[in-house]
Amino acid sequence: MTKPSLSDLLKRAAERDREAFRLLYAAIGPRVKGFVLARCREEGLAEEITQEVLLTVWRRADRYDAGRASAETWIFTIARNRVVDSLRHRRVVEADQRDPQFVPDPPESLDAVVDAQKRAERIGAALDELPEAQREVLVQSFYEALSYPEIAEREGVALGTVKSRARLAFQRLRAILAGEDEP
Amino acid sequence: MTAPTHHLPEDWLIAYAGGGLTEAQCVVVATHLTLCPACRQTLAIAEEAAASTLMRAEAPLDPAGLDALMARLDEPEAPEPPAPVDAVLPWPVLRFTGPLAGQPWKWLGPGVHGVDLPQPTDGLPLRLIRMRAGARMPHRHEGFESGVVLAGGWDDEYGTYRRGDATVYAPDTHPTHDQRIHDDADCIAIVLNESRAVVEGRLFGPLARLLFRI
Ligand SMILES: [Zn+2]
Repeated sequence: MTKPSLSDLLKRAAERDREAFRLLYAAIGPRVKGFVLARCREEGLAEEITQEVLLTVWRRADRYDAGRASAETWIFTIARNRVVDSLRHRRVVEADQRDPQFVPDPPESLDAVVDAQKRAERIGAALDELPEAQREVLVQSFYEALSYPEIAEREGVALGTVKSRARLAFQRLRAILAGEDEP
Repeated sequence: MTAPTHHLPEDWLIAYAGGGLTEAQCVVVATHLTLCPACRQTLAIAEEAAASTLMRAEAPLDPAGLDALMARLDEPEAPEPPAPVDAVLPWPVLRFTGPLAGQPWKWLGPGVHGVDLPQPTDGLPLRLIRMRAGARMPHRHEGFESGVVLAGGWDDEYGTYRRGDATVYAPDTHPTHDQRIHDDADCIAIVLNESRAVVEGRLFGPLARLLFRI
């Protein structure tokens, strides 16, 4: 029997399946904590935030949309928001589909439903193909939540260089994704 | 309505994906994302990349954690506050300002009124601006100015802006701003002026304020 995927486990958790939630916790909990610990550098707090993240995952599981993001990424956004909330004492402001002003996706993008899971895997692989300097900017801006001026200072390069590296890295990611989308 | 044609720079979306923006910047980004399916697509890629970069390393969980968590699954959740509704303002703005009708507009200059948003955590000057239909307001940028058009629109030397369009003006690339508000309706926008705090403490502050009360 193959291991159930994260997105299967999430779907079952949405149906209030506690056993699925246990498996989900074991599958993703250590990586959630790895991320939280890197940001807060304090074992007890990291454990506490990780618990809150997983509790939120349980409560919001029915809002997960597999066409929009991989399960891993959806859980990551919850962890990211919780970290910002706990460490910076503010909430991440997000677009919300329930907002009456929310402009829905155009119908053509619904026809070409992306497999978010596959896309996530390709992005992971594409990241490894980026030139070192470009990847480094992405990693520092993501990983350490450093601002571009902070990265520029650390790397000893101009702010404009950091921004253009970030944009180049991103364009490269997109190009790699687009190339692989072709039949 | 038509989709926005002026988008957020990708480096803003990358920083947003990693959780690196200030709260005031998040308001600008989330407002545009509410109105722009294209930038939501870009953000989806940035978030996948962020997740795959950031959730690689594992940290061992406290062995007692799972039981503690399972015991909390049935805990009642605090009810969410009732969702606000406004015909113009998206939630990322609305939750700070309340409905558009009845805003305590302050006169900022000829044809311009504004309301400061309460920003307790970063102290960046985020403002709802109302500009009179047909007004012309040339000014200079001493620092970053970003924002999203919420109603009406304008033309300037960089293009035509309408509801949903994002503006990110840097002083080096967009030093001047010859804003001509469209004639058909007042223009409402959310604007983050990162220079204001700096400008006011400097020599050119009073001059800049006289010119446009920024
Ligand atoms: Zn956009």
